[in-house]
Order: sequence, then structure tokens, then C-alpha cells
Amino acid sequence: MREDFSNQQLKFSDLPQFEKVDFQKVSLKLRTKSILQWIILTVLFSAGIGAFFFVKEEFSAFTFIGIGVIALFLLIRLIDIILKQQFYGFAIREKDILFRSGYISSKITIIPFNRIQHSAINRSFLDKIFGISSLKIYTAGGTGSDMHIPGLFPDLAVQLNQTLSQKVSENA
Amino acid sequence: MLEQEFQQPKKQEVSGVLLIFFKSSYRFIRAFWPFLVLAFVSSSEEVRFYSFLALPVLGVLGVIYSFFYYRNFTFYIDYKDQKFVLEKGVFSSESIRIPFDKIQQVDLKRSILQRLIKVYGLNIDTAGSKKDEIHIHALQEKEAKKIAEILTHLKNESFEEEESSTENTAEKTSSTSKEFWKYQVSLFTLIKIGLTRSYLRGFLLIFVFASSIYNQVESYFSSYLPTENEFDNFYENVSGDLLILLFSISFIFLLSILVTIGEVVIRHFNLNLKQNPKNLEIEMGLKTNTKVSFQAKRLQVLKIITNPIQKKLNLFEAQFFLASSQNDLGKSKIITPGLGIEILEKVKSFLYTKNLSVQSKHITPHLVWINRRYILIGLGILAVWILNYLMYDLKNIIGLSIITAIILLVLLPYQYFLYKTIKLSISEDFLVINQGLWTQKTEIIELFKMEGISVQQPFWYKRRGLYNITFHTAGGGLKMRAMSTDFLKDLNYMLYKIESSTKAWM
Repeated sequence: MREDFSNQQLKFSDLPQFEKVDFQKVSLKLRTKSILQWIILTVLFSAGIGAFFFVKEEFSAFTFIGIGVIALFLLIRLIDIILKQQFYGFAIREKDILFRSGYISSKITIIPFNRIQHSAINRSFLDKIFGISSLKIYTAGGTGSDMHIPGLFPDLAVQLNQTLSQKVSENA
Repeated sequence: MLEQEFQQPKKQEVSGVLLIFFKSSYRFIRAFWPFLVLAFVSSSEEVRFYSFLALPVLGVLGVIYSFFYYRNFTFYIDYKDQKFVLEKGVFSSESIRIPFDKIQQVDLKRSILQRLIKVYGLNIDTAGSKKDEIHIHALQEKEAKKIAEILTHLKNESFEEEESSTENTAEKTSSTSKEFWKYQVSLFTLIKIGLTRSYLRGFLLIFVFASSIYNQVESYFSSYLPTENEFDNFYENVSGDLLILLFSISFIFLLSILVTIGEVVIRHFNLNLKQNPKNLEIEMGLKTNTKVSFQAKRLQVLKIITNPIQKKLNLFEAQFFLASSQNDLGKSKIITPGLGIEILEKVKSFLYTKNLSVQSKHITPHLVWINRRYILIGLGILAVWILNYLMYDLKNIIGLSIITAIILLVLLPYQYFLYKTIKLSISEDFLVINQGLWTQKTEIIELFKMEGISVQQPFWYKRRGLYNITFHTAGGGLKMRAMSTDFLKDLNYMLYKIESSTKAWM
């Protein structure tokens, strides 16, 4: 019989509750970056529409419907960028990592450390300019349970990545 | 013990630049070929001129890109951290760290181009999604083989530790309870399965087939169509017409039964289940013979399907979902129909060390579950009406109303009773989901085999405190809608089960 062995009855109320976790928000630079991306997109669309007007002299109703649709799409995209920022959040507990996102439908994904396959830091060109990173966490569950945390400060991302690596190898 | 090589970040062979160049050019052309074709066959001479001018510019840019890609592409083995590390990216940068024990397979590959410049490609596969696999394009033969050897060695080393720890327990159980058995599904049973299965699939197959044939025949013979007079005579005989309709429907029905039986027999001919000391072996198929054997730990989800008639005949279909890199349940499943309840029990006792039939807690989703279905049905009907309005100006409004009424009368109660059948059971070690009115499905997941859990709350669920829950496994995800806040406690319990488990789970 092992000395350290114990087998006490578990009560649901004693179990750690994931819904009580405090989420840490991601950097506001993520929003700035997304807005810059949006501006680039808008400029491109406007240029395209401008060129279209320049080349063609006659316009049908469809042209204006098309432009309206594009404008609506851009507007929704901008609202989406602004709204979703504050709903991104992550938290690390002793044995798992949590990630929250979304406002129309808010979603929390929980991955236990002993189910993480590996993790990677990703920095796009714009990420480098704005000084942010994103952390990707892979499981064997495929894209459904893979985690992608955007807008982390590079130091924090590296630190998180190392912590995760450590936890993963502790469990392996 | 092998020497600890490749600790310093290393680049590929310089000739790899060529490979990268070709690869990115190929990708570029594949992405933009319509534009390229348009540019070069353009009627305007000016466009063609500039296109030809742009070509060398693009080429030079490609070479520069390839060079930077080559320069930033480094890899090394981190022995202390037990990982293979790859860093890459020209504009963006990415660092992938793969723990040794997560490496599934290491192989060397050579394309014609790689042969020409005398280099080897190295692929490192992991479980999980496809995009996080590592491809190194250009390595010297000696190096490539060395890395493959080291990684395979390291992988097995970390794997053996795991194996030896589980070995003892496995032996113990096998000596006490596991007896070996074999089971074969006869041709007669397969025919019974075909007969009692839903014919819907077969019916749709026939329908699609028949309508395409009909279209072709019609277009072929349209020039020989009878004149209008003959048509009139023909249509005066309405009762004859109805008879033909009835006859063709029953003919299609009969045919779809045959097709269903045929499909079952061809796919599952000579279905064999055999339990070996450590794995379950399944063999079947007439046209393509499939043979799979897997260990209990590789199973992620077990799905059992039956219907009232098959239940009477003691016929159950088991579907085994194994760990794979696919996202949806269904891609890597093994389907074995025609198992009796006693065989199912044997299969379960092989798969699970814990007792499945212990007392469990039952949970059902909130009645709101049904709203989504009702809204979908409503939208579907609305779409049909709008389409009808646009195309036929609602000339056949009576027929349409009757059909709508019938659909509503059948579908709405059906969805309600379907909702009534949904039941989640959580015991100490298992999550079991039951659902289905005619086709009854039971899905069984061992709690510790989950990869993670997603909890989703659309804003219209907030007031009622409801959630959509997705259970992720290496064999795919399972989603349950409209679960109450109380259920979160059970999720915490599941997380506890995963996190406290040290057993191999795939």
C-alpha cells in the first residue's frame, strides 16, 4: 500500500470551477492592427470602385446595389473588429488553459495541459510592426479544439509558450 | 545513446533555394493562373508587352523571397526541452516546437527535383491538424538519415517509458477477465440488415440516378416526341396514368431495397471480428477488403446504432472512431453492423477496463433545443414559397399549401419526439449520449479521452442560462445544444477526470 495514496469522495462543489475564472484581456494593439487592416481593405475597395467609375460611363442599378453591399460588409467588419476586442480573454490554471472569444455567441474553450500536442508562436508582418504575437496551441482533436490566442505581447507569448512546453513535458 | 547532434540551429542545403523557388513559383502560378492566361492571350498588345516585362521582375522577386525563406528557415533539436524546433517565415515568423513523444512518424522523401539536385526531403508527422506538420525540403543524404534516425530513436525512447508503465496493468486484466473470441457476420445477417435499414439512402441514390437518366433520354428523344393530338389521347386516360405512377413508385421502392441490401453486402461481406491479446481485429468487404486492428486506447468514441426492428432481431451496428487528424467524426470510423447484444458486451469489455453499466446521472437539454429545428424548418418552407412566387407566381398555391401543411404536421411533432429521446448519462468514467426516434444512436466516450471542452453561449441563451457544449476527442467533436447551467458542474468533473488521468489516451 502506498503511503501517499488517498481516495476521498469527491463533491461537485469542491471541484475547481472553470466558469469562475478571471480572464486576462489581450493587448489593444490587436484592435489597432485590425483597424489598419480594415483601412487597407477599404482603400483597396474604394480604389477598385473608383477605377470602375473611371472606366465605365453607364451605371445600372446593380452597380449601386453592389457598392451598397460592399459598404455594408465593410461597416459590419469594422463594428465586429471594435466589439470583439474586449471579449478575447485567456486564463491559465494549474492544469489547463482557457480561451474566451466572441460576443454574439461567446465561447470558452478549455484544454488540459496533458492533452496539448505542442504550441507555437506566430507573428505576421503587421504583428511585428505593432509588437504583438499570437500563440497557437495544438491538440489531437483537430481544428475544433486547437486554440489561437491573438494580441499577446511578445514577451508574454514566449513566456506562455515556455510554461506550456514545461507543463506538457511534465505530463508526458 | 546517440550523440547529441543538431543542437545548433541549422539551415537547409543552399541548393534548397532552388526548391523553394520552384515551389513558391508553382504556388503562385496555381493561385493566379487565370490572370496569367488572361494577360498573355489578351488582345491588347500593350497588356501582353507589360505582362512579358513583368515576368523577369516577378522572377527576381521570387528568387529574393526564396533566399530569405532559406535564410530564416532553421531547425534544431532541443534535448533539454525534449523538442524538435523549427523556425521559419519571411514576412511573418513562426516557431514550431514538437515534443519527441508527439512525433508520429518521420520519413524521408525525394521528388524528381530533389533527386536532380541530390538532396532529401524530411517530413515529420504529428497527431492533430495537418497544417502543423514539418517539411524540410533540402538536406544532405547523410544528415537527413541521421535526423530521421535520432528523432525515431528519441520518439521511441519517450514512448517506451509510457508503454512499460501501462504494461503491468494490462497484463493483470488480461489474465483475469479477458477471454479471446472471434465472431463472423453471415451473409443472411447482412441481408437482414439491408432489409431493416432505412431505405432513404437507397431511394435517393435511385432517384438521382433515374432522374439523370430520364433527362438524358428525354433530351435525346425530344425530336421524336409525339404530336399534340397523341398527347391529348394519352392524357385522357387518367386512371392509366395513375397506375403508371403507382407502378413506378413501387418499382423504385423495390429497387431501393435491393440497392440498400447490395450496399450492405458489398461493404460488409464476410465481416470478421477477432480479439487478440492486445488488439481488436476487424476485416470485411467484397470489393475492397479492409482490415484494421487497433488497441483499446486508440478508440475515442464508440457509437452504437439500431432501430426498433433491428433491436427485435438482435442486430446492432457498432461504429469505432479512432484517433486521427480529421476534424469531424466520421472520417476515420470503422462500421460493423450485425452484432448481437452479447457480442457488443464482449467488445465493450475489451475496450473498457471500467464498468460501463454503473449507475449514472441523466440529463436532458432544455426544450429550447427544439426552436432551432423549428426555425430551420420554417426558413426552408419560406424559401420554397419565395422561390415558387418568383418562378411560378404562386399559381399552384393550393398544392403548395397542402404540402406545407403535411410537412408541418409530420415534421413538427417528429422534432418534438426526437427531442424527447435525447439523454446524456454521466457516470464516474463515461459520458453516454442517447438520441434518435427511429434510428437510435448511443455514443460512448470515456471521460479521460477527451481533448478539451468548448462552452458556447449565444446571447439569446443568456437569459435562460443555457450553453452549447462541444466535447473534443481525437476522433472528432460531439456537440450538445441547450444544456443548462447545472451541467457546468459536470464539465468541471470531466475536466478533473482528464487532468487527473495519466493513462495513454490514443
